[in-house]
Amino acid sequence: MLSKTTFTGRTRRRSTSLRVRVGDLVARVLITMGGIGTIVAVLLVCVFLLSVAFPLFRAPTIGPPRATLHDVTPTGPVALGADESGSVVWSLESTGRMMVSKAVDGAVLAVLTPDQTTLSHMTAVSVEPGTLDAVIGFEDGSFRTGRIGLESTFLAATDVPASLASIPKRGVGLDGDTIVFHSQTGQFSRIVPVCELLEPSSGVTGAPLQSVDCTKLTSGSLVAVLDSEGGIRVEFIESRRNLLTDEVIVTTSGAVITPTSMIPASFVRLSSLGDQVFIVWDNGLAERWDIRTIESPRLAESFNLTNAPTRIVAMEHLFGGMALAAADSDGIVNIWTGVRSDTATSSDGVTMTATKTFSGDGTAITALAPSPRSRLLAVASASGMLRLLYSTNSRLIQSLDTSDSKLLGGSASTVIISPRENRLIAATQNRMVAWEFNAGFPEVSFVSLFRPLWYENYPSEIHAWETTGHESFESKFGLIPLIFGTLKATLFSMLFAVPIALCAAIYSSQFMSSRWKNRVKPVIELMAGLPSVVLGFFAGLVLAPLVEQGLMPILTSVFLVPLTILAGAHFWQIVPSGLRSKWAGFRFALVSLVAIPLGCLCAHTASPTIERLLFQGDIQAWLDGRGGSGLGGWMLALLPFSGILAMLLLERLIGPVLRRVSQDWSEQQAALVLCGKFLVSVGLTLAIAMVAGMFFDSLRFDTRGGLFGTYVQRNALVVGIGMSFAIIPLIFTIADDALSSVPEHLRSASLGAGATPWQTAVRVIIPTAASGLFSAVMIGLGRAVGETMIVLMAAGNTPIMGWNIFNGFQTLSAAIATELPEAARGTSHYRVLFLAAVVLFFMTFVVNTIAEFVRQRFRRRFHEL
Amino acid sequence: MKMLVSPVANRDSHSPLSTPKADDLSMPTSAHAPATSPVDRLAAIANGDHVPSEVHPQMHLEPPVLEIKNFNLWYGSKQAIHGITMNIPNNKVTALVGPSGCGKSTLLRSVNRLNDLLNNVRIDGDMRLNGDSIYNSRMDVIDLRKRMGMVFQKPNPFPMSIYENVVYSLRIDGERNRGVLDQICEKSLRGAALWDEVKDRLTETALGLSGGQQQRLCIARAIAAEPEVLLLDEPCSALDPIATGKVEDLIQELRGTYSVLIVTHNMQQASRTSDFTAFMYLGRLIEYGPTTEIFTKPILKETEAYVTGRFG
Ligand SMILES: Nc1ncnc2c1ncn2[C@@H]1O[C@H](COP(=O)(O)OP(=O)(O)OP(=O)(O)O)[C@@H](O)[C@H]1O
Ligand SMILES: [Mg+2]
Repeated sequence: MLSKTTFTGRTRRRSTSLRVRVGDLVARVLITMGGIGTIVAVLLVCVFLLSVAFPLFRAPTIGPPRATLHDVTPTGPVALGADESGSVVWSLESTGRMMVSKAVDGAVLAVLTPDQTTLSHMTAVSVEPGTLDAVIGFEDGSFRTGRIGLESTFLAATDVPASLASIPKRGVGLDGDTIVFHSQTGQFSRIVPVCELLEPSSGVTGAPLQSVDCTKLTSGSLVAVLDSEGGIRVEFIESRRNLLTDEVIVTTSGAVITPTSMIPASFVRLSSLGDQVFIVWDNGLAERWDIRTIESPRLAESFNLTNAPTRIVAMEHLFGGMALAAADSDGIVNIWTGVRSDTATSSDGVTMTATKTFSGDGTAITALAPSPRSRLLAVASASGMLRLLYSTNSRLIQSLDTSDSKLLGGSASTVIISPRENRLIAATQNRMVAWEFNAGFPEVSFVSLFRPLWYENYPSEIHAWETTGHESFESKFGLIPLIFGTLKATLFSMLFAVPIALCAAIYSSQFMSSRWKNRVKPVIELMAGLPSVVLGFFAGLVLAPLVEQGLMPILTSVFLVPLTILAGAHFWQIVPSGLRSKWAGFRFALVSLVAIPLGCLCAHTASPTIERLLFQGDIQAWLDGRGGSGLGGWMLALLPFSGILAMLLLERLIGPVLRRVSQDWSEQQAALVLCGKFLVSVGLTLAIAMVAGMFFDSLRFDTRGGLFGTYVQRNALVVGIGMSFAIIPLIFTIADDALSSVPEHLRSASLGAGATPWQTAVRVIIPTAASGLFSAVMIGLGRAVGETMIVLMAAGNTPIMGWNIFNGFQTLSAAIATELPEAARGTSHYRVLFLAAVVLFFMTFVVNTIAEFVRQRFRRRFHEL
Repeated sequence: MKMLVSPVANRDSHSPLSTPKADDLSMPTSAHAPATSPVDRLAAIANGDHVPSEVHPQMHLEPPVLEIKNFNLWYGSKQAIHGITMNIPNNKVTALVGPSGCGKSTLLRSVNRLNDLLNNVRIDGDMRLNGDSIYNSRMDVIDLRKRMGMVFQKPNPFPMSIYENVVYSLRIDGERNRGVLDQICEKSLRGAALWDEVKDRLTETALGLSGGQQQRLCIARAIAAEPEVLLLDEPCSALDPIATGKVEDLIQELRGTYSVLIVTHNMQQASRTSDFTAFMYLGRLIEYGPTTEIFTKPILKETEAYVTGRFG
């Protein structure tokens, strides 16, 4: 019922109704919850990534020492070892007795006395870390290969002796002479002490053997022995089982090595591949002999491990066999690796190079043990210090003082790291101590992630990312190549996408008729929805071969198409003005349908000539560095800059003169002169680029090795083009919206003042929309940084550092995508990939923060609009 | 004489009728324009009938700078200007008055072809600037606009410094000489009565100015371009009386050297500043003559009613 007392005839209730209030409240709560939920979800992702990556940096832990496992015989152990689980320890004493005891408390589990009369005459023992392969040398100059250690076999639950069924997890039980281990996962296994030796082989001179080493190869064992008079022999013992008679046929072959030095050497070491033997003298001299043909060893190289009076006291191969750790009497451990180079003086082209140095406390090293599963090293020195070192990143993991009388009470004469790196065992003449330890992820540290390292077999320090499934391979967890790849992908794709997208946005918002715009814009926006896997497929499998075949025409058209467009614009001015205004509506059509194809055609016809002139007729070969001068590359790289320079120069020098003189010229005349000026500037551009290129070339600078280099089919150029398809629609859409939302009255004001649409765009519209354009670019950048599929399929996934536009790379995202499914959970590889994700997250975060920051500044400037 | 016409029909059939013949104009009270009562005439226009304009004979004696010839304009299918024919005298001030929505701004924007920017606009007829056809396809729009300065109804300074706003037209012409720029900037700002207020903050953004200051800045920007014709669309609607006075003084100063076409709702302003006044109503020119006559003895009662404030 309308009231007559008010103006509109309706009486308004002057209080907000309950329904509205409730709706308000509900909306507020829901929106707040949604907002907070989003923030929490993002934070949770971040927390998850960090929680996986964080353990990488956890300090290694080492448990309390389990002191004095047992007081060993006064002669002390000559060899030590542990079973696979690290819970049972064996030691071989010089008397020939083998003791087996529990690692936790030293309780003796078994005492073996195999062939004691022979073994009591042993003078040298070598057991390969982590295996049972051993060689023992004797007083009489003979040696025996065999197996010494603890063998574990899985035991079905039913076979476990009843008395041992209740032993706790990670515990060891003894029933009669059966040693049983109960694993963390509940699996029982039987541990059997093994000490079996084959028939003896004779040494060189009959003098007591001083140093022996063996390496197990697939077809047999390789042995090297050194006697106290300096006689050295290598022998390959091949045992073949006859499949019919089941008879084992042992054949031996070998040779005596006569080193160049007459002084008796102090020890011999075989490489784990069995291809070379190292002979080391007290004074630090070392010889590397090539024994690939065992009958005729050849001296490959002699080098100095140290300089007298420092003596080399121990030398072992690191896990993987590609590096040596040499310890000296000054307490220093050096890591040596073979580096292949063209300038090497050795017969096989490899030079042993010291890559890392671990300095100690100045006292001599007494024992050195490589880990059987990583580049971890245990080093004992005379002061009683026991150190755990990691070779790859030169890291001191842990350092223990064992001189306490409750511990070893002196310096260890033998140390070992158990096969699973969970126990460290050290022994003196009469004491043996075991520590439970967890090295964590020793190969990962800030240095190994972000600094160049000297990896095995590399000639110098490099940034590298290389992870393979093979465990003996030295993993290279440098994130820098991936970060570099990400930046390279971003840079090159932005280089292509930003100019095109911004030009397109300016064109569509300022010049295109709205009828056309309404058709074109949705199509481009639709492109933004193209799945990136499709784009990646397109870039990697369609575009890459095309670009490879048509490299020269494509490179030429990059310059010629803009040139023909500019030329078209200039010649357009010569057209009589009547005709010009009549055809004004078709300018765009003329440019796109005439100038661009014309440019492409010119590029196609001119490219063979240009290729012949600048690149010796074959750009691929030129890029490979096969001949040709650097001029072509310089011209290619310098043209854009020289173009800008030429334009500025002409503008500065003859612009004012021209303006003054041209005042009373007819339009036609002026246009002709402008055309002339354009032609001059093109010539000037070429001239500047050529002169500068010749100058750099004469200084022997070459773009090859920098911006250009060997052509690889999947490269940054292809990624740049492919990624443009993903980024251009994104930047275009946002930039176009920003430009179109510049108030119409500003456009009217500028046009009304007599500005051309282009002047209006450059002077008014673009500055006003700058914040929007900037965010458009930054959003494109964010997409480029995080883009995965395109770079995965088109970048070649080679983590190479180098700006060569024709080479591939690997990005953080591509590395995560390809390697995470293969990485075993919880391994350092797995965690480093998560760390890569954190880095990626951080990078996009930084990009977006900068974007937001700049945008806010711009916005503050224009908020009055 | 009643004729209901659609815009298209109007376009085709109307032009011969509305093309003013010399004798028509010299005899304002001809048979075509019977002296109907105000209500009748305005009602006839509202009905869409053709009502011829009353143009005072003095108008034909003035040399025109701008000739508008039977100009029609449609926004989509809605016609905003109906067959306007009028000459804007050279180096004189001409005022356009009329009720809101009658098409004054539209006519002004048509003069420098700013309506080209709108894509639903269709026009018919022609305008000539010093004899050059404005709507000829040979006419270079940019050059055309360089010959005119325009001040819009709503202030629209660029988001740049005050200085750059004023010298914008010089910048787009490529003027680099700092001395020239400085001089013109000061001169134009003084002319727009803004100099004293902004002389210490020329490098600050123009968006920090008040609405009235912004409008005077736009005036300064327009006169800095040295236009042949100055188009002012209610330049003083946002100004206080003192600033208005100064802008009127400026217009007085420009009279004789520039041709000014000013839209205003302020009758005093029109009578004070202009030499000629045109009264528009619903897209039609109703009466056009010397200001003194329009304000003292208009031919039509409607004009009298409007200028004395009795309707509109
Ligand atoms: N862009 C446009 N699109 C459609 N119709 C428009 C447009 N601009 C103006 N009009 C219409 O054209 C007619 C004339 O408008 P115009 O702005 O010229 O009036 P005016 O005389 O300037 O009024 P005021 O004195 O209020 O400024 C009005 O009816 C208006 O609604
Ligand atoms: Mg208006």
